[in-house]
Amino acid sequence: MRIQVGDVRLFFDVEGTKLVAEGPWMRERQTVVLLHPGPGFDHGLFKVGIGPWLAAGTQVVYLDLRGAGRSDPGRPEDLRVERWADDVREFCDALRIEQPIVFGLGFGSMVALDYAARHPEHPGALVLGAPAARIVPERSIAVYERLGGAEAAEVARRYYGKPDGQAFADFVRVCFPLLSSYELTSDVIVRADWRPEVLLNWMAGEAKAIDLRDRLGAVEARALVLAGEDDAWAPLESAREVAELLPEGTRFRSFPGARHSVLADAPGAYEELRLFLDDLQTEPA
Amino acid sequence: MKVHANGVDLFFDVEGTKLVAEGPWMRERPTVLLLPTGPGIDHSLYKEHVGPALAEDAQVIYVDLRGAGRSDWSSVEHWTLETWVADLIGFCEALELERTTLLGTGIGGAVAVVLAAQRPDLVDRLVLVSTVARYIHTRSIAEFDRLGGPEAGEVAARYFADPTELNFAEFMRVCVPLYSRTPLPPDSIARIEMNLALSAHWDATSARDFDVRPHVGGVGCPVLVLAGEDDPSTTIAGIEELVEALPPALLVRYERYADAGHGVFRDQPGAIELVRDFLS
Repeated sequence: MRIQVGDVRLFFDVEGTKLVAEGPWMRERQTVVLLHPGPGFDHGLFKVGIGPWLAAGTQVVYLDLRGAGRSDPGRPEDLRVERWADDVREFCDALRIEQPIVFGLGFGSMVALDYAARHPEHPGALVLGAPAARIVPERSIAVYERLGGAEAAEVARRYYGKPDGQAFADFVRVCFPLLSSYELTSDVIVRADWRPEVLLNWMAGEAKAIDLRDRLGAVEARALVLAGEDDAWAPLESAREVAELLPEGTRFRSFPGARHSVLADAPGAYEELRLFLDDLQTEPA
Repeated sequence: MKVHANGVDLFFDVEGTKLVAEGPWMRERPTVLLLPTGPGIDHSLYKEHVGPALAEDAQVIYVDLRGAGRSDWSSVEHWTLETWVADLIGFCEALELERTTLLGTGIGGAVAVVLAAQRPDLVDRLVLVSTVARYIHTRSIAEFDRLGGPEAGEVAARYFADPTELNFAEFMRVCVPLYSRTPLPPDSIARIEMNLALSAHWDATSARDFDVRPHVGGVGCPVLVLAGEDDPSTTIAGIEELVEALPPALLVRYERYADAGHGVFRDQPGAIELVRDFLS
């Protein structure tokens, strides 16, 4: 399905019903909106693992952000975090989704953070997988070096310095495999409806300057932060910095050996998520 | 979720994804839109068997029509077949549902036929469950009499002659249990968000004169028809009037089940396999 949001139509898919038959009642379940990594990647990687897992207890909404997957490309000047964040709010409004749990991974958690800062009353809760409030190349390069040696550091340095086609091709070849501790199979890469130009334009533009740190104080939602201690995209310091700037009560959990695919890499992350979702049920805001 | 269409918010729920990961591909599955019977009842009965079974191979969308369940109830002058069709066209357009299979039961089937005739571009296949060309109350009264004895026939006759909410309560108690051979569990009834005023209004007005046969010529997609022989609401005679009117080339299959009532699947769970075959 696709729905009009501002000047674009956004693709979304759904797993799990909102209402389930339970004795004489139709019981309402919470809605989780999943925001994919990227930008320029799509929702597809959530369809294996976390999406089906969440759909056992909630209604899961997979969203392709503006410029990604099966959504409209939008105008180039609108491909920035603030617009993506407002799109999340307007998407929910168009479908009358209230108090969603907004769950972002990597770049998706950056969008989730800005959304929650700009619309503090809107989210029911936040789950931030591998989040960062800003892109700090030196931190990422250090992790790539630790995991992949001098060549990986060099390739990452070139990519963060001047993300052109050749630097990106090398980055995909050398650094991408370091973002996950399980084998990122070619299937996962091929299944995505890639828009690499969106990623490269963003890396060359907004990524160099974006800094959400001074906005996180506006966030009101309860949040769970899940960090991989070997994550080169969201290095541990960057993820911890997010958790420290979020409201009191924010849960921060980091997992040794886990990389950017923190849920796939750390079974303990699912445990933490389960506890967080259970607590949302038993301690409504 | 709800979406704004034709001036109202329509509630919908979803079971099963549109895209599934399959090796290097995201495979697209068909979409099935389930149109409830009634009018005046919500989508909840479909959550029991039909939706989950079809979600094995399709994305299933449950919708509450205007006037029922969690959709805007709007007002009495809008409780018409024409409005429901216009609402659903707006619904399909707002969500970019294209080439959808419509499965309708009872009045939901009539809505499906008219929609398919008006907008063949939106509809890929039609499954008409317990759907009549028109309602003839004397036929229903005779069937209530046959299935439930003279009291049931009298209660039905009284209700159809004077469909007030008071007479509807009696109809609910005596006649509705005769809709299927397998009794509807009390929990299933309790789960329905019902608009009795809409049901009574429909029976007092449109039910007396609506006829989908003038529309069937516009249908351009394959059709599957399922009927129960012990259905006092949408009688077999009324269903066969529709079957005869359908373009023969499009009628893929017409299956009538002995010992089955309204909605067929409760009494004959195996009928769902016919629908799954039809979708594939």
